[in-house]
Amino acid sequence: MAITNKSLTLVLLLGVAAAGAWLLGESKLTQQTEPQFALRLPQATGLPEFRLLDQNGDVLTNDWFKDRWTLVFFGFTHCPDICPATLQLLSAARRQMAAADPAAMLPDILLISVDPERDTVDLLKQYVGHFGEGVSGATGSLAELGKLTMKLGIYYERQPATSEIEPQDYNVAHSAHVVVIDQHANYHAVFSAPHSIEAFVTDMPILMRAR
Amino acid sequence: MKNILLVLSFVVVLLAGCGESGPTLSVSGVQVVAPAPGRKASVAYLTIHNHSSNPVELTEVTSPQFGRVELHETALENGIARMRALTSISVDGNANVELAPGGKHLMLFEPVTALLPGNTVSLHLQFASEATLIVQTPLKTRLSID
Repeated sequence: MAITNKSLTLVLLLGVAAAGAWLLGESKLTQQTEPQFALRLPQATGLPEFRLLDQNGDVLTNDWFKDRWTLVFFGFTHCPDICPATLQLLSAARRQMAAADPAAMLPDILLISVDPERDTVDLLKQYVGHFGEGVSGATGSLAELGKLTMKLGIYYERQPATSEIEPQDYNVAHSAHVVVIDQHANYHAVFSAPHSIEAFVTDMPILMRAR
Repeated sequence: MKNILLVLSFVVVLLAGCGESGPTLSVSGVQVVAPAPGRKASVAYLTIHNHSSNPVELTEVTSPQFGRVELHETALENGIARMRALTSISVDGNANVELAPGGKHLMLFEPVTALLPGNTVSLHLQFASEATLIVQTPLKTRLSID
């Protein structure tokens, strides 16, 4: 009788193990294919030809985006709150993605300054270096910026300074969404503000599975 | 009469206007963030808790380490972020107001001396009721805040 009980237990354990393996396989087959937070465009769309300068003074054109995924945020370095907060959040999300899967391709982060009057190459270099690995900056003439902002639905407008004491410290109101550019240099998806680390950590691996 | 109490930031609850029934105001989650290289203004975030049934109003913030502190708000309207200065911040009775990235916050200008991460920053929060809260916290960088 004791032997029978042991056999039954063994059979039960094997059954549980088999069911677990099957469920694991099912979960891989049914893994999330669509983003939960980002809006993926029905069809990724190409960017117009543009020419900016990056934080090293190198020319940054459409080709820069190829063979990488990029999270693009439009802002400016004098922006005291939402720009550094967003870059910090994107950088933290990137680090979490790296910790979760050290072999995974990670998205690059690009701040495009819509304040080229004040944001020199040197200032951009100092600024983006503050936010950790994988963060770049770029800016260009208003005409070149306009090509991208028009395509990506980015609004920006100079505002008076909030402080009367330093009227030269004007602000720039700007769209706060984060644009996803895919490895073919196409506009692929968009994350609307307010942002969370969870949104990027959850959705970027899903978006980046697209070929 | 002005109530002034000093509490380190590691103690998350600050007290002001204590009565028989306990504190009427407390502050938690204080963080002061150094500016990115090339920038001038530090920024501070915290949460104000109003434990009384009466509304309170934060009217002014000063700091011995900074020449000027302003109340600001990043307002998100139709996906567009706009900065605006505030004259005060109200907290309803038995409610909290969070000063957080992308929302209301304090801007700290004109540092009296060069500040490094880890240096102590004091914030003196002045309320319309004449209560003052004083908090101290080490200066952080963007990458080191929670």
